[in-house]
Amino acid sequence: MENSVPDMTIPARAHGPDTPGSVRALRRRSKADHRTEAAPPALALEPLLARLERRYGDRITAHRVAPARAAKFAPFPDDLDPALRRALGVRGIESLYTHQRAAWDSVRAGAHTVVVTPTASGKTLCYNLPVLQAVRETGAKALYLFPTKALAQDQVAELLALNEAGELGVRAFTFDGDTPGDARQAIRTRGDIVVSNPDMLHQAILPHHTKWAQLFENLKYVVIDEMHSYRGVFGSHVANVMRRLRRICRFHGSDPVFILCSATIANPVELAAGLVGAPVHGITDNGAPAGEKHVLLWNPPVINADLGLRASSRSQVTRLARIALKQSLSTIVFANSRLAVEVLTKYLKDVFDPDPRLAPRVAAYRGGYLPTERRDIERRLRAGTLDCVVSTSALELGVDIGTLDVCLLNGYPGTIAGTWQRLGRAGRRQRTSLGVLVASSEPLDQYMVRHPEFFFGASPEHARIDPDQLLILMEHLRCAAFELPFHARDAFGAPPLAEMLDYLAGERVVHREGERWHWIADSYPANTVSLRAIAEGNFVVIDTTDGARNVIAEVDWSSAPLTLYEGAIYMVQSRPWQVERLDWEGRKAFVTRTDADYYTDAIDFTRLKVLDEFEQEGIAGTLAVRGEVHIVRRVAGYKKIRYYTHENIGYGEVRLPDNEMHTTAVWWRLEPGLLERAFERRWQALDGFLGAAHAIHHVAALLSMAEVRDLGRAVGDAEGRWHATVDADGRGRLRGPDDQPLDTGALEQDIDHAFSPTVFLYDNHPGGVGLSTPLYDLRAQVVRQAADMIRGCACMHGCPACVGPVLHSDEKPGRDPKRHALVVLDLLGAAQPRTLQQDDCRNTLPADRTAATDASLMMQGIDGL
Amino acid sequence: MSGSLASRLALLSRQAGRLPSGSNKGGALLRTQATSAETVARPDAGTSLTERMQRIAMRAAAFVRPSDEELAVRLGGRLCVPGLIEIEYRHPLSEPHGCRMLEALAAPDLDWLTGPRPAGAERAPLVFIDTETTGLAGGTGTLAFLVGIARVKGPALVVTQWLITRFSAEPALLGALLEALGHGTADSMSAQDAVELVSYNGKSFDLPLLCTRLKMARMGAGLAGLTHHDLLHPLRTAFARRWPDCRLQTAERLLLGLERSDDLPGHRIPAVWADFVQFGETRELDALVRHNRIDLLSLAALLPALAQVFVDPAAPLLASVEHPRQAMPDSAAIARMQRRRRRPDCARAHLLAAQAAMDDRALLELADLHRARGDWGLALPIWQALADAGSLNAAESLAKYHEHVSRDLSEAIRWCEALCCAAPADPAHAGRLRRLQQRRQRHGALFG
Repeated sequence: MENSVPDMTIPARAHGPDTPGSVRALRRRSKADHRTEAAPPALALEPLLARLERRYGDRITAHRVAPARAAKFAPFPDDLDPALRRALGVRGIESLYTHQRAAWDSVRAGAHTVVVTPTASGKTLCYNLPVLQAVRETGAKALYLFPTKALAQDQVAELLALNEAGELGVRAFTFDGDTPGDARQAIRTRGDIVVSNPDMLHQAILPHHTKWAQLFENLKYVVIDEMHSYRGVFGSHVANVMRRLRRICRFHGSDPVFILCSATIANPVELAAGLVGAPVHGITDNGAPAGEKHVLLWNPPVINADLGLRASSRSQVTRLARIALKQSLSTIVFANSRLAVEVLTKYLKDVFDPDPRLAPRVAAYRGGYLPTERRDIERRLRAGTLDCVVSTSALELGVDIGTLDVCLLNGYPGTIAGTWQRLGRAGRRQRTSLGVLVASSEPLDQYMVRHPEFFFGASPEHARIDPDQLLILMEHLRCAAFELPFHARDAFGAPPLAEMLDYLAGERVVHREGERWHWIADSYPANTVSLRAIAEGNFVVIDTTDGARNVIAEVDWSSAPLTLYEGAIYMVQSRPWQVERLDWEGRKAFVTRTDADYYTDAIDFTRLKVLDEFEQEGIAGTLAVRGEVHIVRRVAGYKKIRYYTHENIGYGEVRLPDNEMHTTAVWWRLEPGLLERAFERRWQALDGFLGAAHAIHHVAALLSMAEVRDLGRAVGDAEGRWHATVDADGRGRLRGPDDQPLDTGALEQDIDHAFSPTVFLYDNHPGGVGLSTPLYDLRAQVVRQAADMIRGCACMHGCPACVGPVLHSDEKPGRDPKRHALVVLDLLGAAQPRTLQQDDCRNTLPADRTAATDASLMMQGIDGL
Repeated sequence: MSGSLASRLALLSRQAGRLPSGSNKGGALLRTQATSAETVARPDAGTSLTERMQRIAMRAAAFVRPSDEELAVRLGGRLCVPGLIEIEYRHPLSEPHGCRMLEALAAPDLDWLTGPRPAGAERAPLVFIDTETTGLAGGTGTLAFLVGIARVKGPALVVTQWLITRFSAEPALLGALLEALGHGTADSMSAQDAVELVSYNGKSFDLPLLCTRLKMARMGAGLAGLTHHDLLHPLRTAFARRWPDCRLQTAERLLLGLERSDDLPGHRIPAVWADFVQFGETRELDALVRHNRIDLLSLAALLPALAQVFVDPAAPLLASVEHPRQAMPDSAAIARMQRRRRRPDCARAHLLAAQAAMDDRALLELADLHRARGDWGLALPIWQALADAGSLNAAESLAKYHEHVSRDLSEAIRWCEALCCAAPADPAHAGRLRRLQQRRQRHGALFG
């Protein structure tokens, strides 16, 4: 990625404060005039920053200022349609940014093109210009794909505005689940630009491609916006939908050029090529201007130095949000789980929305809410009638919510790219803004705030997809066979086509006749395939209070066991419901309103067994392996946690079917001989492995791609004879194959050859989605950096920030999980064990992360969404 | 390798939360079209591929697949080209189908359905059409493996059916159909249609499906522009409020007096062809061909029967002993349709013929017909009676009448207030009331 040094520098404190009243006026400013406005005032940020520095200086571990950046312009292309040029003029655009011109040149030359720029950099013109030109020149057609319906509707409004401004006569329509049946015919035959989403393409358009013949015969461009959201399982599905799309285009005699737009990720060109299935030209040099931006790293104060306990990030975020809101600064708060969103919203509402008769100032926003509710919140944010929104990653995407002043992150979001995307929600246009990353006690968070140079220097993650994941591929092979018969000479993914089709023939869904396979089943396969997950069958949450039956939310299959067990408190807009009954087979949870003063958190176990070893490496008595494993997860019970005090006020039992899964994993273990020399007792080694696993898990998530939840971890015996858990008292326990606790005496024994603890990291999706291979390639670095992380922690004997929730570290003489974890990691890293005294607590950056570590690179990506 | 790929897939599918067949799919409340067809189509999901392949092989070995020629003979047809069997059947017009005669088909009346024709415009010959398909899912993965048409030739209704015995013969079937419809394989349409199609639910199912198949076979869009009459629509108009459903077989029973015996149930049809293509099982193929033939005969017989319902309100229908109501068409709906077809006299005749049995909808329709002719003296008592019984529509008509015709403002306001009271949410009533009150004020200012 090219790395441009900002050529304009504005001193951090150049602007005077402004009246709070101007906040809303500025936020209502339309998108069109962003180019002509002068650098706007800094609003009330200055006093806020000064106050934070004065009162909480010791909590701020870093304060960086990204200076404002001037625009780089390029002339309009000579062959630009005069009508288009007039339209741009009406919209206040008199020249192009350099990246817009580069995109034009690339696309017009017929190359698949990916444009990597932040939001509000005019990226939509990168595709709208060549598309509108082609529609007017040759009657070509285009298909726009957005990950959500809301983004699609925003985009059509934008297109229509340009169309009207220049009287271009181009017909653009959204086609999604809300499109009425009588409008669909007109869209199919008359639409020049059809704006939709991958799910509709998959379920409604491709299986009916003959009805869309006019579109496919003339399809010249396919636009994929928010490309970075197509990663992991979803991305692997979408890559297969693109395979199907290109196959259908070939049938109808077209071969469209793909134009993709992405927020900053490490490998945009690679991801684009994976999605399109062909080489893609990348444009990464952004010519748009940006406003000044302050970023603070914030570590909550230590409240118990002995145990290394810090105040919760939640308390700090609540405090910061209160300060910002009192100064009339519009604020967005990001939390990393739906539960955290609800709890934070409750705390802020308790302060700012005490009177239910008044319009609320604070709202929660997350997946699972019904679309109407989400649209309403977006509208209120744009209109400026809502001062604060608390959200999960759902608002990371380019949903238009106007400009916000302050962005607070409750905990490190898990990825560098995701962090900058969220921080970019504040100050999208030319405005001074503030972003604060508040660290939780999680290891990665602590690592980030204590090593600002790492955080500001880190390159964003790779977005990975695995279009040939067997389950996903087969689902789309079904759909593709339904759309057009397959011929033996065709190709679809890497595995041998004939073998896959013969499998489908065995299911009697296709029939082989000579060299062709025809769909023969009486079914519509696309209806049973959801792009958003491998697992199918979402649960609906039904409110039965007072005999009603209202659907209030939808929960995906894999998180249902953790959120919808009987007795669980399920929250929507921080209002609690209690789950009365869970109909597992029917995928329904029946809930009633409650006024409980607590919330619930599930306790789950994982058992694991090795099935197959694909590759391995043994160095100096350590073994790293990649292979296939069988996982059994069980939700055993739940804790009731009181609001505010967060004290544990009770347990409940959960009876749910075990969740079984075959997937791929990477694991590490040591020769028993090495273990014997390093430890005296089994429990010490076990403590070491549990602590090491915790650190490895978080570092691996950071290095491989992925969010922490995409990977699972376990410590156990490779044969499945036992697995280890951390009990409520913070001590390692061994459990047998049926989860029965094993005799604690076993842990007091000496180490022998029968005792071979193993750290497993597994791909947390059935069949795996390709996470284990990059993880195995990074195996040495993962171990090394996990050791660095623990060594760098300021605690004495281990704390939640390094070895995980080990509370009673001083209870037992010689109990020192931190040291034990380091011993294990150093052995795994095939390095000489070092004593703590020898360590300096400085960390070195791993080699591959220094390559793209110019701090200005990421600061440039700051206003990326 | 195939064994491991297969068992791996079966295993992964189970773990990904796919439920065993037959159980309820999750999220169905929010999803409109959660099909269970997929699970039904995979009865053996979970067993290994090898086992399943063996089972298929065993089943296939149990039947001796006849040659196409042998099959054609067995079905009473002939082999046109490899894979395509044509079967012809003649039904004399003088012979009844159910208890209906078919003579009227010699000079069929369609004006009741299409409205009066321009003078001199000739109606093209009618072709009745019906298809049997590999499923009802629609989309590009559904195939019409049997297409039947019926035409009047001389004294008989001639049914022609084309059945394919393999996928590769589909273009031949489509070609034969296009030729029979006078299109050859030409893409463009002649200015004058060679034929007009008559179908049952063909507008939403059979014809779009055939058009899809033609595009898939790159044979143009030949059928899309043909004039096409779908008898489901008028049948629904006349009987949707009378019958439990409007399936063809229900119409057969209640309108044609036909009871099928030994018929192949419609839901079995895709499986019969799939079993034949995959295993060579032919046992039920003749039942399938017969089923399609009866469908076509019933479709043809339905045309004069429906014409009678729409044209002649006094004509006797088949009376059902248990449900006399089923034998009475919905005169209000028929009258409305006849008005749309610019036949108000016919509409009135329908309503008057049904007078004794007229419900509120029919009465309103009748009053509206009177209104359209300016027969206020006939319309008013009907509205009055209905409004007294609580009909909002009648009250609204009275309010309009007094506002615009009798110009009795206080009477108009009285009805309007009643309306606002009964339906406070309707802004139209409130608007009318406001307008009327303003007018009364102006009126008062001028004259008071």
